[in-house]
Amino acid sequence: MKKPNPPFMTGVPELLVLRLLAEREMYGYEIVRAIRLSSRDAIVLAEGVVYPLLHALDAKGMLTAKERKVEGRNRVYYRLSAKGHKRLDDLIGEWGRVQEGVHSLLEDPSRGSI
Amino acid sequence: MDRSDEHRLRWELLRAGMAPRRVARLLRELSDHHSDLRDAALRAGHSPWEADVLARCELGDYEEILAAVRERRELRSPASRWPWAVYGLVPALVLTGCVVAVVLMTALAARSGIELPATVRAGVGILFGWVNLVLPVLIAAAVLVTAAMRHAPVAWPITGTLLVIAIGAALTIDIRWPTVAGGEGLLLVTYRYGLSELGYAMAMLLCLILPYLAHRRLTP
Repeated sequence: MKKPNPPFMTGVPELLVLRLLAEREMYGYEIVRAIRLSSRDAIVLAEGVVYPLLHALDAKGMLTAKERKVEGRNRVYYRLSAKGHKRLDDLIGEWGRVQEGVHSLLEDPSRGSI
Repeated sequence: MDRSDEHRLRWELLRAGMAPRRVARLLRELSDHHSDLRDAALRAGHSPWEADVLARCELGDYEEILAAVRERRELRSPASRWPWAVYGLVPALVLTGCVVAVVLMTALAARSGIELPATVRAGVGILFGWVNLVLPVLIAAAVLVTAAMRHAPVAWPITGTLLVIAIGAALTIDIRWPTVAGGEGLLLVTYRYGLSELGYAMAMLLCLILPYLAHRRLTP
């Protein structure tokens, strides 16, 4: 079993969850599986922790939740709202800038010397 | 998560200020997620016992889930964010608002000059009695039951209940219908503490606050 990722992942699960839900509606277990599969097991969340995040996004109006009974289990399906789409665009922009900065530093750290 | 963890998590989530409905949904989701993980482990050839252990490990322990909830303020209910308003102020305002609404409606009906039939007059009498005696008890009980269900700290629910008792016991509305057609009636709103009002306040204190405090003492 893979260990969950360290604290520098703060904020990343939100981006990943919003991106996945931009494709189609999903329930918690599906989301966690999709994150592992899409990231080729590079990103592993403590699975229960995804629910507080989903509830928080739901409370902020970025997701809508709908409960459905599937094969005897109550699935809560989450879908991205218009507000969620906007937040996703913002996060993708921020992520791009951070990624560029980290990449630039890793490539040539001497660029930062005074 | 086993049963005792689930029970503890429910209690801690309520203490952390999450609304009971959201807590129930979160626990249902966690339980279904555990079942999905367990089924996947069984399909992968693990024994039922191993499947259960694996599922619990992957789901994470309840401390992690609780920490994730605690760091998100948006998951706290209004009662948890503004207990002074929800438990302290709103009940007193609801009671006062109901009294004002009933008095205004009656005054408007009286001013319209329409002769009210005896059954309607009797109905108004019952409504006044209900507002005087039953409504304060219902509002105070609702405050305490809500606070108990949410494991809220006792200070604001007690303050709100005392306020409702203070208003409800002394505030009385009464009506005297005109004895002759077209004559004048009287609509009385009084706020005073006599012996009967004090007795009513004491009875409310004993019947509402004491059981609530006993319940809080018995639950951890």
